Amino acid sequence: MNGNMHTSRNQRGLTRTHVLWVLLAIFLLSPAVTAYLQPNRYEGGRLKDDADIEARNTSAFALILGEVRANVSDLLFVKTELYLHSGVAYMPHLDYEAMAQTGDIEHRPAPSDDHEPGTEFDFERHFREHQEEIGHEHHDHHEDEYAPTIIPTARQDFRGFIGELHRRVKPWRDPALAHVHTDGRELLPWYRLMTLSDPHHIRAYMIGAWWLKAQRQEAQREEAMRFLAEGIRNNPRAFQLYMMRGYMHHEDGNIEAARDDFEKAAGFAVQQRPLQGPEHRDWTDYMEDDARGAVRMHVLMERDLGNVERAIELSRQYREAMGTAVAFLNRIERDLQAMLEEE
Amino acid sequence: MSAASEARVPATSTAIALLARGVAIEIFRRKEFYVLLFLMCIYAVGVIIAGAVGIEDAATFFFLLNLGLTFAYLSGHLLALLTAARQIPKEIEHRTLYPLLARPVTRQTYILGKWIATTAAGITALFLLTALSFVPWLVFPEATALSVPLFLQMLVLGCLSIALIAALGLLLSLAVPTGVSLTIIALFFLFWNQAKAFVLAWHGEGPAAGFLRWALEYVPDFSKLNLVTRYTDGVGPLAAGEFLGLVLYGGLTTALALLLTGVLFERRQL
Repeated sequence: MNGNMHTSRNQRGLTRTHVLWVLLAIFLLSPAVTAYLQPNRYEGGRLKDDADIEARNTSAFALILGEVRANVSDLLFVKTELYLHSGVAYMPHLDYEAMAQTGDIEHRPAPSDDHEPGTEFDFERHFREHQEEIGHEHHDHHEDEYAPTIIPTARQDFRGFIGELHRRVKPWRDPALAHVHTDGRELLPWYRLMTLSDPHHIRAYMIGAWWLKAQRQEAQREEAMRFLAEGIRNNPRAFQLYMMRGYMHHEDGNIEAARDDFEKAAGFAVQQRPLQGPEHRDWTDYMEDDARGAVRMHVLMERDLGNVERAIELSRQYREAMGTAVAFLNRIERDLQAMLEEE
Repeated sequence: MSAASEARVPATSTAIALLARGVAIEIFRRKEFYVLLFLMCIYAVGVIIAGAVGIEDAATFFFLLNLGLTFAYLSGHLLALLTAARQIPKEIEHRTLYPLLARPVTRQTYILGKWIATTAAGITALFLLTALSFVPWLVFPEATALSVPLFLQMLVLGCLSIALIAALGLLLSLAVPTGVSLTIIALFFLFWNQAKAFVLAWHGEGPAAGFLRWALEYVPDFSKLNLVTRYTDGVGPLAAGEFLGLVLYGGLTTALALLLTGVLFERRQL
């Protein structure tokens, strides 16, 4: 009897050990699969939607809850606005999509607003202007649209002395005066944290890279390149990041590297662009502009590298894929044909 | 199967039931659950008031729903962790473990019973608080935009995540003091995803990067089992393959943590 029980206990022990070893073996091999299990890695969603961000952050409940957010990257976006205005808490009014694309701080009409679809748009001028703009340190924005402060003015504040105290102890500026923006250095750690907390926050990579570039120093420029490379590593299909890096390579005179990046940017943009273009809910005007910029720059880079035939072929492919949205390619194609005939 | 082992089956289930009852009594006595319930009731009242005042737009609706569901999710985990991490050290300290193990209860059964009870407590809290945080929202028209399959996936993975945190709580409580185990697991639960991204951002390139990425996957990542933001973000449900992969991931990690707890507890000198 004792012998039986002993054997049975040994068998159970053996089975348990076997199970443990089998599970350990599976566990040791599991990263091959688990690394690809990323349920929270997705494109789009309300959290990153511009209109939703604005509605959420300007709602009465958001004001009551202060900086409480369930998502870290959302909370950090709120922080960046505060730091940009030297601690003065304005009602959220930044156009993050414009900042991501062009470095524009305040809301302005999207670049696509000032031209009809299908007509020529000077992307190089567009980017040059915005580069100049974000480089200004501590500049006033007299032209900004009015954005009220979260702590109200004395006239609007029913709290009397308490309100006055609040305005004096907290950073505050009369909303009737022009905004004062910092040069962005204080914002950089927030964008770093934002991308650490959410490595798929494409816009944070873009704005962070813009601010780094805007410091106009070689070290920061290299850092911007590294930041973009990291963004691309984490988001290999984010065409805006390739495009931004392509522009930086272009500025550095590295045309081949620029061509490679614009090629990837254009490829992904054409792949991801819905048939309806900006009419589609998830495809904004800014994305459309980036997509158009990517195909245009890809064609021009091939031309600059002397591959005129290839440039013509690409132009035709892009016109087929994007239709009237890239009608400006007609003129480029004519110029390219002329160049080919001259040769 | 021998007659002796057949006779053990009902004894094991009874022992587990008794252990679970003990854990339940302890939870009700410690009042943590009431605190969480009270906080969630405040939230529910807030939602009802918000409903009366009027939610301005869909974005605000989803933002507030996300806060409620996140709180319910955190509460379920917190309760399971607090209960699990205190079980064995407290029983050793109060010397209630010895008379228990003097009965025909194996150490494996003891661990299993404690784990089932703490997991059940966490899951109960998760379901109850999710219901409290969710039901008041159902009157809003925006609620129709929410995905039911994703909601179910979120609950299933939430339960697995609680099972995992309970198993880890028991495991670590055998190795380090209760406060330390609570802090370590809570930090991993809340920040591991960010910490991993931080490490990969700095060392994600170079020859050792692949090895590093592989090695970091061994640390249990609770964020993989948290679909709350995906749910309120309006993204569709997970594909069957990915969902199954996550279920297996949660199940495997939990089973391994439990088996290791059993091995450690058996070898421990009491």
